[in-house]
Amino acid sequence: MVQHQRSNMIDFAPSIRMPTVLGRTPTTRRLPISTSPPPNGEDQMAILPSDPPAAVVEAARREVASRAGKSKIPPSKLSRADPNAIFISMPHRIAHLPLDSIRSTISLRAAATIGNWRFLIDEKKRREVASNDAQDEFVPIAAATMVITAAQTYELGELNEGPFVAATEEAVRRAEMLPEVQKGRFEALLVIVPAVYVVALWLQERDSDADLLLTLPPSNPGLVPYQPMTSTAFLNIVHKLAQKVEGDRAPSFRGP
Amino acid sequence: MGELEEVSVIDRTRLGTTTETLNPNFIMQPQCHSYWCWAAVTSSVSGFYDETSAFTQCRTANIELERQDCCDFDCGTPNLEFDVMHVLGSPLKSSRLPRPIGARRSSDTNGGAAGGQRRPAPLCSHGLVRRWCAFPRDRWIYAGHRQFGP
Repeated sequence: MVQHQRSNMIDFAPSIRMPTVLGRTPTTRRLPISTSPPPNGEDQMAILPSDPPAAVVEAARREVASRAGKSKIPPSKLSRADPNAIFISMPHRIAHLPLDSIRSTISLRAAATIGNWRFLIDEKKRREVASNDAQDEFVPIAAATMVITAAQTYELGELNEGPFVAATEEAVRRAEMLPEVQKGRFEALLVIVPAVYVVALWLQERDSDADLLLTLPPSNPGLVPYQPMTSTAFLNIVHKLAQKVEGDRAPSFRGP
Repeated sequence: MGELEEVSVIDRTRLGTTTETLNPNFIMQPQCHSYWCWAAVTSSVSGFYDETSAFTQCRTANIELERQDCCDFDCGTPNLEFDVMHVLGSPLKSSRLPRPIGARRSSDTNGGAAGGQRRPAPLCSHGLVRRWCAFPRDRWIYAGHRQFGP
C-alpha cells in the first residue's frame, strides 16, 4: 500500500485524470509518519498499479458505461446500478494455467499464459456512519474482462458478477496489509487454473521472483482462502490437485 | 508528527464512467496578453481541476514573473512590460525581466522559475493532446504546459 504524505501537492497518477478519482473508501487509514526513512530510501510501493494500454482503459470505461443502469433481462447488478455512480478500478491481467502445464512446470511464471485485461467495477454508495454523517463507499459489483479484436481494438469479453469479484478486492486489500508486500514492489494479476477450479490473486514481485499468491474463495478447498503463499507452495498444491483430477478422469480415457 | 495516508491500489486506480468523466469539459482560456499562452494554459488547467481556483492568468503571471502589477491592466492592453514569452533561459526573459537582488541565475530546467531558485521536479501527466505538469513551489501548486511559450 502506498503511503502518501498529506500535502497540497497534486498527484498525477499515470493514466488517471484527477476529477475522476473521487473520495476514498472507508478502508483508507491514517498512520503516524515514521521518522525513519524506508530502508531503501524510497517510498514503499507495495502493489503497483498495472499499466494497461490507454485504449483498453477507454474501451472498458465506455463498455461499462453503456451497460450501467440499462435494463436487461435478467437484471444484473450493473443494470440496476446508478450510472452516475459506476467506476472501474484495479486493471490487472488474467493468467491461465492449463492442466498440461501444471504437470511439467516448476515455475508459475514459465507455465502461465498471460492474457486479457480485467477491471473491477465499483458502485459508489452512501453509507450512514453517524447520526448526521454519511460516507461514500465503493462496492465491487462486477468485473469486466476486455478482449482484443482482430482489428486490434478492445471490446468487452466477459462481464462477471460472481463471487470472485468481491474476493479479488478482498484479496488485494489483505495483501496490502502484509509486511512482505509492503516492503516489495508487486504487480497484481489474476491466475486461473480451470482444471482444478482455482482462482488466485498472483502478486508478481518486479525485482525478484519472490511472488505471492492468495487464493480466492470459492476456489478448490484444497487451498485456504486468502492465505498468502509462495508460488512454489501454490504450484505444489495445484500439482497435487491436478493429479487427483487426472486420476478421476482416467477411466474415461480408456475408451470403449 | 504528521500524517501518512495509506491508499489502496484499488482506490488509486479508480476511474469514472460517466459522460462527464469520459469527455471532460476542459475550457481553454484565450490568452490575456501577448505571449501569455503559458499563463492561459496554467489558469485553464488549474480551473479544470478546481473551479474555484484563484490562479487566474494575471495572478499566475505575478507569481511567475515576480511582479505585483500583472492584474492592474485589462486583458488586451497592448505594449505592456510583462508581455513576454516565457521560455526558460531565453534571452528575452533574461534581458527584460528584473532579477531580484542577490538571486542566483537559474540553472535548473524544471520550468521557468524566475529568480534562480531551485525547484522540486514537476509532477507530470499525459493529457489528451499534450503533457501537463504541476510544479510544486512553496505552498502553492500551479500547473502548466511543460514547454512554455506561445
